[in-house]
Amino acid sequence: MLSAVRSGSIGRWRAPPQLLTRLFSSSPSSSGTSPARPQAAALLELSEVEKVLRDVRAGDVRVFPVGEGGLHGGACADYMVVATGRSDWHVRNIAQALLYKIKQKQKGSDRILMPSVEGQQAGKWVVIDSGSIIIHALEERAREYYDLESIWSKEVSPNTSIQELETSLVKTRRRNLSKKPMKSI
Amino acid sequence: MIQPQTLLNVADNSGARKLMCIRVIGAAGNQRYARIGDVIIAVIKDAVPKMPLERSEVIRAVIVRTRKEFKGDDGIIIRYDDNAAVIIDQKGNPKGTRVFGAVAEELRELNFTKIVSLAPEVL
Repeated sequence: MLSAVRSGSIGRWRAPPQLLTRLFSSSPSSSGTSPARPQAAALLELSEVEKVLRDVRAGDVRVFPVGEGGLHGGACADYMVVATGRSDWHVRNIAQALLYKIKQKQKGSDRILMPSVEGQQAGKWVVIDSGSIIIHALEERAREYYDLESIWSKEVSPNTSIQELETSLVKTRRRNLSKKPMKSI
Repeated sequence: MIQPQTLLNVADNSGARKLMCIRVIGAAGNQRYARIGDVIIAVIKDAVPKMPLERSEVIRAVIVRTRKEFKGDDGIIIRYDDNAAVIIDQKGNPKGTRVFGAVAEELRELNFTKIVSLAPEVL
């Protein structure tokens, strides 16, 4: 398949070709996504992530399934994991622990795949992008500031958008202010 | 094709409305224009009142949408209706907390996963 060729040659951690599945929506989407999955799943699994986060005492761990039909239309990833660290140092350690786990897991294999890490130097917000799972480790204040929960927890349901559309379509008559009687002086 | 003097919209809630590019980072020799995923130095031309960012402040921004068509690895060509950027700090953290409009998936490969995860729509 085209997507199989692409996922093998170009993007190792690229999400399944969402645009293609949208174009060929008649074919089952699982056939399009399956070639990318096993590689991504080999990097890290959700249960392992949760175990590592528990071991390094990351606070307030929450998992958001943003898979098919969720936010971003499934283009981004399957799961978003958010964890809080007490300080910059702690946040960086959370990231290090996850990377160490990934390395340990692939020890025997002839080549080691590592996820892309972002914000390792700053330490306020570290993102580990391992394909199907994206792990965000934030410092307490940064987590409060960005408030990531509210983006992913609210459903992008079609009902609300229809309601909004209805309210926007309802016409309200403008008041004619020009013929207002003048106030007596 | 963003170059110095280009005006850009701001695609986040940081408080700025209009930016003017004054420098493209990494523009030397062959590369003169910034495209999606490039970092620019910009000056704020217009800002929302009573927000932390003010007019005539110099900031860094990453370009998320361009009018010039953009071809991804998979051969899909995307052209947006406006030039838009997201304000970031020196370390790559976004200044605003929400990103508006669609952003390209290629930003994820260019290590701007934070912006992609804040965006409501990814192409």
